[in-house]
Amino acid sequence: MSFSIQVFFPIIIMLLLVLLIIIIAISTYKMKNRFGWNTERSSRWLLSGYMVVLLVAAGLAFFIPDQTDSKLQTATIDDVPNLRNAAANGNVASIDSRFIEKKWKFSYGEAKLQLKTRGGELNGIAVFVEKVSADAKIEAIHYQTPTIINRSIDITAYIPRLNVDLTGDVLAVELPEPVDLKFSGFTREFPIAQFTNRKWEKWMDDSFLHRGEQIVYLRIPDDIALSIEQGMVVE
Amino acid sequence: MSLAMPGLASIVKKQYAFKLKAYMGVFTPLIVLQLTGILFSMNGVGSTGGGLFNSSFQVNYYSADLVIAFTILWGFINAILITTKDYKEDDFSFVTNRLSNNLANVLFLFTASFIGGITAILTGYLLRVLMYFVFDFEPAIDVGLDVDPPGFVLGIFAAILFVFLGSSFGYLVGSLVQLHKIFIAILPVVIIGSLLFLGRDQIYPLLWIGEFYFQESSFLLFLGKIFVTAGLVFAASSLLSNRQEVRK
Repeated sequence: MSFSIQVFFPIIIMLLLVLLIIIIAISTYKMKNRFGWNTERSSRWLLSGYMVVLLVAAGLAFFIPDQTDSKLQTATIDDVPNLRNAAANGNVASIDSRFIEKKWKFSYGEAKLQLKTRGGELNGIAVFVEKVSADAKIEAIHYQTPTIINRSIDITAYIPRLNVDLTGDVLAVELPEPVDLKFSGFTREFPIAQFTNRKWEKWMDDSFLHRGEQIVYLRIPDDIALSIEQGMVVE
Repeated sequence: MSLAMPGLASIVKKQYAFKLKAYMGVFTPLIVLQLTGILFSMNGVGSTGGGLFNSSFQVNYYSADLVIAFTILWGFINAILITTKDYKEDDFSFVTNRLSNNLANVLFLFTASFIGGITAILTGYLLRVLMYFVFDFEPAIDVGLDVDPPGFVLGIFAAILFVFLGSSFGYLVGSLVQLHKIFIAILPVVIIGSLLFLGRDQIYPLLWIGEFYFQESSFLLFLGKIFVTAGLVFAASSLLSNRQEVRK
């Protein structure tokens, strides 16, 4: 069995706190007896002052806006289509246009085309290819459904966007630079959360994060011979 | 009823009134402890996160949970302290017996828990205000804003009761120690030892206790659990202090 010193930190902190309480309590008491200080009166003043500060803070707290970040929208996960299913069934037309992030159109005269990813792996982003009539242009559509945390806050706007680029005979899905998104928020104290419907541990449960979907839907004329980069999954 | 034998209720009332005045000092460590708790809470009390396509996200949470935990600890130690000799000497100025003294102590501890619980919940606002107005912290998510007033009031009562529960156990420990000083050494050994011993067999009593009190979502059941537990613990402490009288 091996222990790391960190295991003992909470215990050490707790012992220090216990010591702190005892020292303050005893010294207050001793001061009263030894020096005849009226510690009751000063304690009462201290407590009253502290209560006033807390009440003022409670009043001021109502001036803190719920959400200071305008990029964050509230959203629900209702009416969100399943992009993969729609695309796999050739049903992209049924996807509401509000889920379209961007469209690209490229004129292309060559007979061969390579499909690649750039800047990393797809990481859950699905790429679909639909063969269309020979005279059409190459078309790429990026769909994305919202990613919602805490059941209502849409953080999709923070997710970096991919790009589709045609250079030479390479059609590339360019993945964005990865970012570490950091959010912070206040949560209700456990005795309050305990009797409301929202459990205090709920931000740890699965429903906290609803991951959105991203797909790239490509329409490529059927007279172009398409070669797909090894390792890239295309449906 | 003669003048020499005043009723229990009036003795308890007098003693309680005296204790309220004389023990005001117990609130100084409470304030220091709560402010320390706020300081620690500024680092966040929890976080959750995960991968998101090729990026990642993390959410940090802030609340006064730690302050409430500290306040429960304060209730526990506070109750031990009022059983000590220093405090008990004050009681000799009264026509008193162990029962009235115990009852007055319980009333005082409840009052202290009341103040402790309310201030602990209110520190949540102080934390928010400090972080927002002083440290320019931008909250993206406020999980709990939609708590209705009744839910909030229940929460305050729950905090008070948690502190009271902590106090009851402190009072028991204090009474045991007053019975014999050897308990200062025995109690930590027995408690920590048995936790470690049970832990080896994958039995975690603290987890069970946590679930029993902290995950009870019905307030009435919660109230019952706390009052029954605290009542039993205080009764046990009272019995112990009666033995003490016999012993002396």
